[in-house]
Amino acid sequence: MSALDRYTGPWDARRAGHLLRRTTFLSSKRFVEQLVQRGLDGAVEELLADRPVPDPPLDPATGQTWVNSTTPMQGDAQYRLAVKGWWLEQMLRTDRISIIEKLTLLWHNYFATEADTIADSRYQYHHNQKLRRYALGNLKELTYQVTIDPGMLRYLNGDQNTAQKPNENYARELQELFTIGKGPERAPGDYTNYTEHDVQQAARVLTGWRVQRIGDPSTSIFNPTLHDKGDKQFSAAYGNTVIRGRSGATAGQEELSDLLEMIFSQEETARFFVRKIYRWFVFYQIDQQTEREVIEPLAVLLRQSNFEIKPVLEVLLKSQHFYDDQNIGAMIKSPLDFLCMLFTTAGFPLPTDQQSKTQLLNALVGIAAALQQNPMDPPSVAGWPAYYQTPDYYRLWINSATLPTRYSVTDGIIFGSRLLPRQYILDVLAYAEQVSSNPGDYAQLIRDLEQELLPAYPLTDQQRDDLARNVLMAGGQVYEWAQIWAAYKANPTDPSARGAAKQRLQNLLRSMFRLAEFQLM
Amino acid sequence: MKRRDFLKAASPLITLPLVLGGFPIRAVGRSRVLDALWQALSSTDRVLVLIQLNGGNDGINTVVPLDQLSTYYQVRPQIALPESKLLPISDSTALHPAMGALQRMYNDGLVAIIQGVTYPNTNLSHFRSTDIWMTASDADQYLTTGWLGRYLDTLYPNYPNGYPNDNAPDPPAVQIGAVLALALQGPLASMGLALQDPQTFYDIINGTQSSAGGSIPDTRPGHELAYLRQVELKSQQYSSSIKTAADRAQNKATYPSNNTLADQLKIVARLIAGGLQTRVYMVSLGGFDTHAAQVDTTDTTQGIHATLLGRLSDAVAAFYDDLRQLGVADRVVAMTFSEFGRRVASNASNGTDHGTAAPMFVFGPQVIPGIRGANPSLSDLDNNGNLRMQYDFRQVYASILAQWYGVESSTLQAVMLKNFETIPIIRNSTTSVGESSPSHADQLVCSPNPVAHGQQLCLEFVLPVPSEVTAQFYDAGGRLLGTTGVGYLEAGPHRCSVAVPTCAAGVLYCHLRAGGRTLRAEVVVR
Repeated sequence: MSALDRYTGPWDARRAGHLLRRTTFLSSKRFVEQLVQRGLDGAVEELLADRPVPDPPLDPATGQTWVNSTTPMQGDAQYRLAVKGWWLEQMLRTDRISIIEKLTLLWHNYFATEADTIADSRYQYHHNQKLRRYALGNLKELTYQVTIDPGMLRYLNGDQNTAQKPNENYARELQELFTIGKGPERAPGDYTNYTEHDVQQAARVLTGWRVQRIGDPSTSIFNPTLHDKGDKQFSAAYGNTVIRGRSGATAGQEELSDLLEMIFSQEETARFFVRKIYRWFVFYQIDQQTEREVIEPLAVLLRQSNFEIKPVLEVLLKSQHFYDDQNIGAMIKSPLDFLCMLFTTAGFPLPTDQQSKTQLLNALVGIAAALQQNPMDPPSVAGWPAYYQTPDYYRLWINSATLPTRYSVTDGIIFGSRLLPRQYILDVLAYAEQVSSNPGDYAQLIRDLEQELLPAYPLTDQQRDDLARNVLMAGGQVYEWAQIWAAYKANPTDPSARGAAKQRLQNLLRSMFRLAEFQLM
Repeated sequence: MKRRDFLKAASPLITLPLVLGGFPIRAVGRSRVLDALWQALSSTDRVLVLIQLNGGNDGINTVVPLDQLSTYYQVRPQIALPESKLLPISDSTALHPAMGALQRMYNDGLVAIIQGVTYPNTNLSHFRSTDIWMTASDADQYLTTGWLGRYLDTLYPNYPNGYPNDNAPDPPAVQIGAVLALALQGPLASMGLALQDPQTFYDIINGTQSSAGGSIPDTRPGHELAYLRQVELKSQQYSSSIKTAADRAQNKATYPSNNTLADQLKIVARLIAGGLQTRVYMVSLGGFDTHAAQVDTTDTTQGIHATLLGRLSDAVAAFYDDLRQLGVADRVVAMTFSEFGRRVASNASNGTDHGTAAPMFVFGPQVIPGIRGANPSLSDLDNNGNLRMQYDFRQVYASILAQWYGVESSTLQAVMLKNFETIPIIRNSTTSVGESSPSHADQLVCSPNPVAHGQQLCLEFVLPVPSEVTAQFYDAGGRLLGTTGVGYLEAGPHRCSVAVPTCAAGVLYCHLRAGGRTLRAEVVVR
């Protein structure tokens, strides 16, 4: 049996939950059960289904959207934050189970841009919608669209790249980070897969694109008079390809198509994409066996499907390899995973009125940034180091500064904090009843909470016992919990009975959220 | 006798009971334990603060070559700084107008500048080049440990297992921020502890007693879990000592506001003065990737780069002012680095693209002040229009390790993975040539310096006894480029000429071997 063969083992909460957590920002048992019921094929089909793009964000001041404005916004910084909040709102959706937002985040991390640098909320929004619109489609088309996207043109100075004054910034990243990747440096300026000369030639191909400050913010324009009309001769790395220089209104589009054809016809390009996809959904280590049995066949499939991504995702997400015990629970939650899963698991609804919603979403963006994953503002064009920095990868999310910050977020939803508006404090009594079939039975309560909060990595009996004795019933006997719970149930409004149960549950939940297992998915 | 000298002298003895800080030690030979211990004891008072300038700092507009102003204005028409605004620090070199505070530090003898630092075949990718600087690798070599991680591993072997302990109660390295640099990565774990604020760090970490762990299986998920538990444990263990140190000292200088680097250095100063026995601190300032709008169109002394250099300059000056008032300045050396410099020619967007060599700053009362190396040539460039290398950044690292931390040569080679010629950076260091009673007999003077290719180099030296004399030339990477026999010479002063071997432009090291002694000199080849 090979790694990519269809998974044939049991389809249960462990496997369906793994699929859910890796492809969405949800982890709660109520969503896991939906996927269990659908079976493996049905679950993957639902996740990969095309979804309509969401409506644009609204300006709280006017109730209208501003993203199609033909002029830049006054006081744009608040609108930039609003676009980030709008994206978080999409990630937090619980009305469907879809891969689309996690995939959009993958492409954002892959074709990384920084809102701070783009410095225009309109471009920032349209760039993000573009990633979403092509997320489940064709990677060559996605790359094409990203290349001439106003936000990207501005971010990597593509809008300053002209025949007279070429700017190599985008041409370099296109090859180094977005398509073929650097191979070993065989000689100065020769990166095996391409050379410095190829960077210069690609920059010439890409001359002439402009961003219109005043005008439709969703598209760029091509100005043929700024385009380098000469032939572009590439190196032996690209088989000495010559891209014929063109003039006229469509020269930029035609030459860009040629350029991407040339790059995408190199076998290395498909491998580069597949490795990034693998590290996003499965695990960071790619050993020789994984390279041979997973990466290479998926790269072949990607080429055969002419860079349509769905067939690749479908094979990967249904494979034996994906459901291998070694991969379940082995990923450290990114800050956005951590935050969204926490929020949806707690069952907090999003406010309906625009002002409270904006306030909440802004707060969540702030928390994500403090946890080192500010959406739409990654640290650089390479995206977040957790997906490329050897040897630690996902571990980079967790250090002595960010782990305590995660604690203060989870403490905050139990006891309240300055981080979130007041209404986002968990009603622990109601929560216990919602999650547990028998909250008065301490062992059952802890098992049910474990299944809901720590599904990726099972606790040991010793840990469960410790939670009961030393946390829930610290200073008392475990059998007393049944009495405390019964007293509360008999008289739920009595402050003393209520307080006794509440305080113990708060301590229990706080400790469970602080378990290292909570950081795994 | 200084404690360190005493220990060094004592260590070769067979058995010698020592009492160090209350712990009786039985020294057997020159043991690794004892070595580590004397270093632990002596270098806890020696601190290195690394200041990372993220994005690739434009060295040419930071340290401007006054001797090439006509070329400078010609190749950087949009972004060149006006001569009248530059802040001269020598006849031929000036600082950016925003660096007034650093100019004053320079005049006070607190700054060394190493010119033209990079590495052969500079990689122009931010990420790769940052990794190279962090790991101290060759351009085509991929390492998973950092240079400081490898150094600290010699002092804290097997870290994090068994730490903290009575002899090493504090974290080996502290990074102010929420991201740990690869430079601190040791063989088993990062040697660094990241924190943003000591009080908050302490309060959150000590919020609950963590639940009993249980055993961890040898699986992928198990390894990740073990990592999480280890961060949790180390944070708990170190949080009190960090809070104690921070509480013990208060800043005495006024730091500039709206300056993230100053905010970070402020905490570092408190931790050092508060007695934290941490050897390395890392701080950073981002935004140096000035492809566009590096300068304002109307005034090139303003703009993104000016703002950043102003922050660097003001923050470092306040930091040393604070350290001086706190009485710990002599214990602290700070050093800047950036993944690369920028292209010599400016681009059409009032900015500069990725380049190669750039200057590094080293600060502190213990540095040998002044400029090492020559102004970079703005006209004699490499094939890509970039500056030529004068020093390999690993020479600077090796010099700091040897001269500041007193790392012995065999350990130094193990940490740096090669032999790099050191550069005199730290005063009274253990390894610099002039240390042991400097006299004329120990000096080798080479002239002219810089020397051009094909020119003869004149060597002047004094022989205490008649000796056979040989001159050897090495490059920055320690490779022997040529040997010239000078002959058997009488005692007394000598002057002779030798040919400069064929080599790339940059720094060469001349070793004159005479009767078992070696005299060294550095020569810049144009």
